[in-house]
Amino acid sequence: MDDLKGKVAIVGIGEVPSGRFPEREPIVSAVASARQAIIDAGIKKEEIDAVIPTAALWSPQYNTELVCCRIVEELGLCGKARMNFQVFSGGSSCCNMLKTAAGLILLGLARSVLCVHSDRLGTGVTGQGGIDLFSTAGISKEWEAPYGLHYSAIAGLITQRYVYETGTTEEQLASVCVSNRKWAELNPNAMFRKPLTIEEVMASKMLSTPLRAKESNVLADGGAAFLVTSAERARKLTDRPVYLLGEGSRVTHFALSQEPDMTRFAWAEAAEEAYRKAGLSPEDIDVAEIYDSYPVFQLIGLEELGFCKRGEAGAFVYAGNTWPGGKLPMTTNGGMLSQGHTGAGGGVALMVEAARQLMGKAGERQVSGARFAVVTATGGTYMDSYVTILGTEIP
Amino acid sequence: MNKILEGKYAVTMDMYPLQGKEFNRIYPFYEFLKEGRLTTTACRDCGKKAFPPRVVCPECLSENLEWVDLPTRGKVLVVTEEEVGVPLGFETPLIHALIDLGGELTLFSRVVNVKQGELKEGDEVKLTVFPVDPVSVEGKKGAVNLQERVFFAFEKA
Ligand SMILES: [Zn+2]
Repeated sequence: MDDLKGKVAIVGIGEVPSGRFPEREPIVSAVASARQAIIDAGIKKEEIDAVIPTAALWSPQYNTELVCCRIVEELGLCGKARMNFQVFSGGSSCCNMLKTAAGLILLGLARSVLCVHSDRLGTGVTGQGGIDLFSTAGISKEWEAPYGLHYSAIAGLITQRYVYETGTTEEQLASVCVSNRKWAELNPNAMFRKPLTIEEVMASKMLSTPLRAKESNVLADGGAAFLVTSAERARKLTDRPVYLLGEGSRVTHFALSQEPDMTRFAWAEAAEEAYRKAGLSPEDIDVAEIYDSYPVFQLIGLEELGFCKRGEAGAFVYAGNTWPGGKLPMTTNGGMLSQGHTGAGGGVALMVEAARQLMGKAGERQVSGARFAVVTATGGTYMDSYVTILGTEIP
Repeated sequence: MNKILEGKYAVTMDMYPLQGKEFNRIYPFYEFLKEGRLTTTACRDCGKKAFPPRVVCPECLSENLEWVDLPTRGKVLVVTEEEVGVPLGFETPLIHALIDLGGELTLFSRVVNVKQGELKEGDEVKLTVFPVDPVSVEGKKGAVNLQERVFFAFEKA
């Protein structure tokens, strides 16, 4: 099925603050987010016939509860919901949740689909436990994990290569973190909201050359949800449905060494597909929710999605173009670098933020008149490239 | 068991693959590694040489594979020096590199016996094999056998 354009829409969003909340069990994050999304959409909860919880990493037991319909029961949908199943591809789960929801709705298998995420990576794992988790999860057990490399070493290697090929400076890389922080300062759900300077980023301790501590995401507890329904139903619920206009994606590798170009990945192919389906080009995009986790990935995203020429994204961000008030607002929730890394939720938060901006509900950080947004997401060791285009109009 | 992990985990984290015949489909890789050879699988039907070693040819899906040698010398493409935040059982700094093995394939590896700041793009490196923590395996009548294990990295050529 190639033509999803304008057939389904996000009509409700919900999110709890990211950070360290030992008293807030992850089921609370999930249910509170889902409740917000249902109220936001203004539908009767009984209209939800499919629930898609993505995976939580911190506890297999909690994850099994999600698989075994706990959210359906908590929301009083037992006997009414027709299906509950997990869609999970790490950081890119948000795009697969939306695609799956769209497919179910288009085929008439579901009317309204609730997509939910919650996790407890901030207080559910110890400091060393978090390092161990992110030195093994999605990293080849046989070929890469035995070297003791954490995701920051993987990102360090990619950053090193990107710098080597493009001449991007340390200041320019640091400015990506500053851009994200400027948005997070305006985001009540962000973990880090204190202003950050390029000097502070560059003075922070080295993790894995050339990547520094303040250039790394920080693990957090969090939850978010979005509700998807048909375009017809959406138009009855709201005058600003957030339509799915186009999507494109490629899976490139499992083991990072098998990625043919670790400074590009398949973003260009995925973006070309998404723009073509949406009938839009980079100039039409008002908000770019580019998946971060580390700053280099936002620079690669800006270039491969056609917002900047190769090697020019660093200067583009450094000049303030992606900050509040800039010409291309980017990662407007602060991303995982500032809002916090909640596992698969890093991508879900970006999807929710794109919808929030298009609905005009982004408060102090609202991008005025935003009509079209792009969301990117990737999972594992950057194993896949997903691009989704949303809009309040069908071009 | 890795001594550094004792008492720290209810379930011990083991960063190395099991290498015995009874646990691992590609056990010959480790047998060859003990001889100082770096090997992989090639397809007898279509000729495709794959890395990492496979059980099915990713080109034609044939199961008719054979073990072939890879170059043991290569050139460094990118380096990162991991200074903090490594998993339990490892000590910093860890020096990682992406290595071009004679134009045949790109491989991710650690580079050992080198100090921080010494390794750079273009440096020649060669394979080195070393023992890692053996794993205890239950034998007959409750006997516990220690299974030797090795792993590989590269060092300056
Ligand atoms: Zn073959």
